[in-house]
Amino acid sequence: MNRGKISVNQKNSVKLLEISCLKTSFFTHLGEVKAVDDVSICLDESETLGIVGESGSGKSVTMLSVMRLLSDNGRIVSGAIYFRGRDLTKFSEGEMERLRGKQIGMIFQDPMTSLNPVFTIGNQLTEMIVRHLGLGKKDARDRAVEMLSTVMIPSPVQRMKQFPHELSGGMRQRVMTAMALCCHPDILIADEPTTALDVTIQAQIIDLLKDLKSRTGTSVILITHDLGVVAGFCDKVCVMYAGRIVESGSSADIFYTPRHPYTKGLLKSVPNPKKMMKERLVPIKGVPPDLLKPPVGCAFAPRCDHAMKICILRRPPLFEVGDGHGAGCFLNHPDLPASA
Amino acid sequence: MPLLDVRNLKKYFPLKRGLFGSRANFVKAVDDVSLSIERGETLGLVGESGCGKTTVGRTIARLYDPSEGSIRYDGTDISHMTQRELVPFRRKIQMIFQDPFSSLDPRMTVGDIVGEAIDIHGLATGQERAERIRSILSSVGLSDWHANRYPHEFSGGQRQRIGIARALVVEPSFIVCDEPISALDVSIQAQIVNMLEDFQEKFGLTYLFIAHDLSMVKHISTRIGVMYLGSLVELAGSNDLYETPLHPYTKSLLSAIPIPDPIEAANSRRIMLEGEVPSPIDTPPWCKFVSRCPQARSICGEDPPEFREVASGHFAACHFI
Repeated sequence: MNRGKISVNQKNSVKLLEISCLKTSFFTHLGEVKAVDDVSICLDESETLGIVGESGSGKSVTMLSVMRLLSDNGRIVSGAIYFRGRDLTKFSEGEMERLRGKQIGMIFQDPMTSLNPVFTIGNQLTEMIVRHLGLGKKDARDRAVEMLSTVMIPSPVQRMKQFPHELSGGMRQRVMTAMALCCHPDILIADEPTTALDVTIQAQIIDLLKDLKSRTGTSVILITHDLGVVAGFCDKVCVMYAGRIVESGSSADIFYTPRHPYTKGLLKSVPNPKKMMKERLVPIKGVPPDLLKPPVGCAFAPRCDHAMKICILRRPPLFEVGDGHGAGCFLNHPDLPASA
Repeated sequence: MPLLDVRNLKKYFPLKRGLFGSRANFVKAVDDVSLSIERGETLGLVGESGCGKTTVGRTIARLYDPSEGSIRYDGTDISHMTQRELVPFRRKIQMIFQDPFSSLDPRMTVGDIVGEAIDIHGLATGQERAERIRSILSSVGLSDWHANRYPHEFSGGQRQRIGIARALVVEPSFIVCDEPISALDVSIQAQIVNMLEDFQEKFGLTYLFIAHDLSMVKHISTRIGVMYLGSLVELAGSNDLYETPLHPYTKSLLSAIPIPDPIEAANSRRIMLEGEVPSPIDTPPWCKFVSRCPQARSICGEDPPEFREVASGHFAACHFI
């Protein structure tokens, strides 16, 4: 009965994707690893959302939970994931299979391991089209060629006969993108799509995603650790740390008026190539916490210069600091006198 | 006299071809690179993967034998020395590797990894050896008891610190840093970069800093060389290079840097490069960039451009500068 339940937000409209209080854990022989711990994310139609965080912050696991592609020892412990109002956590495996690729497409960091090495590019693309769109072999083939030219792969007809290993990294990522987009999904999840690529190729792929987004109106979720990529691409940004969202807001909020010490720290630890004067970098001291034994209070407190007593004792909720701008830090508590 | 002077360095890797393993082709990983590094400076080397920047670093550290050309360290040509002759130079020239996961022996404790370098060069024994290990570990921010642990017990950033301790313990004067931060998280990268800068100041070290992260290279380097398909295409002071890039490849490379600022990112214009880096096997004798160059004309497909000084301290290889 839950399957038909419609989640409604304040404006009474159904969100494209609404992740609500999601908790995902991995159960290892050492104990439970709370990879995603109470994460809520909203995505509207034609919106670009960036999820930024370091390795182990839970950004990929959040999206793998949405796709229900977690490894065997991973499980969604609680929370809900509404896609157009329907809770994906209640979907059967068969329902998920029909949804994956058709309504939500995903591209991964390493296109070599996500393409099947023993089938040609054409084979893999047409299989997907036949399956989800129900076209005949020949129509599917035409469609595949058309998709390859959409992602600007030169001589697409010849490429159809090639195997993944015959293509370069940039080309493989284009093929993955073509595959993810060929059913016109409502959401495209791109998990570090450019991390393995050179800067010039990275720029090509990001431009391609921008272009495809403006042409098809697909919503994009971009997972990355590179603040530079986010700045040029995303409308909204979520910053994750140790399995939680520590700050979320518009791109301008995050880059110009960050309110969480971790976000501020991240921004200060990357040099801006436009600056002429050399400034010493300000690193964040220490290392991220062990998620097997997460701290009771704020996970960032041991590394934070502004940590107070309460930070060690209690977890800060996401305080609203502006319109659509939230920061999970007690420094933003409404009862606190205006802070820096 | 510069600390390091590299002239016309070439490193070709043979590709085995044919039934009897006749060597038909070569990968010209480094093809005629000349550069010099002054004492106390940091020379950055950037370029896309496969451009030969790592091979330059490894050949300078004599982990590879150069195919041609000379490498002068402090006036002495080390390019064709035997392993035995190289031993004193191995102490002076050290290397920090990209991947802190594969560059540390998993079966040795941290103390042994660092101590091995001391033993090879016969620098200290007994109590003094232990003291040296302790002091170098503490200067890279590790504790005493870390010496008895194994590499797998450490995080990426800590392993990179171990790699740095191993390089520094023999008191080198020149360090080849081969992508020392690219495997690390953003918040940890700044820690390592600051540490490298501190050591440079403290011990008067000279660095060759190889990386593909252009903003970090700009931050740490005094001068920067840009490589494309085995050759240097441009070399200049770091501000100079970022302010007035001359070579079309440098221009497009710099315009592709993602800027962590939404407004600047929206306003910056990219010079898109068509296609990808061609194969380094049997590269053409003319300009190697011609297949992707937005400004290419007929002369570019005929003559190789000379790598020449076009402004004071600013070198570039292009017919139209």
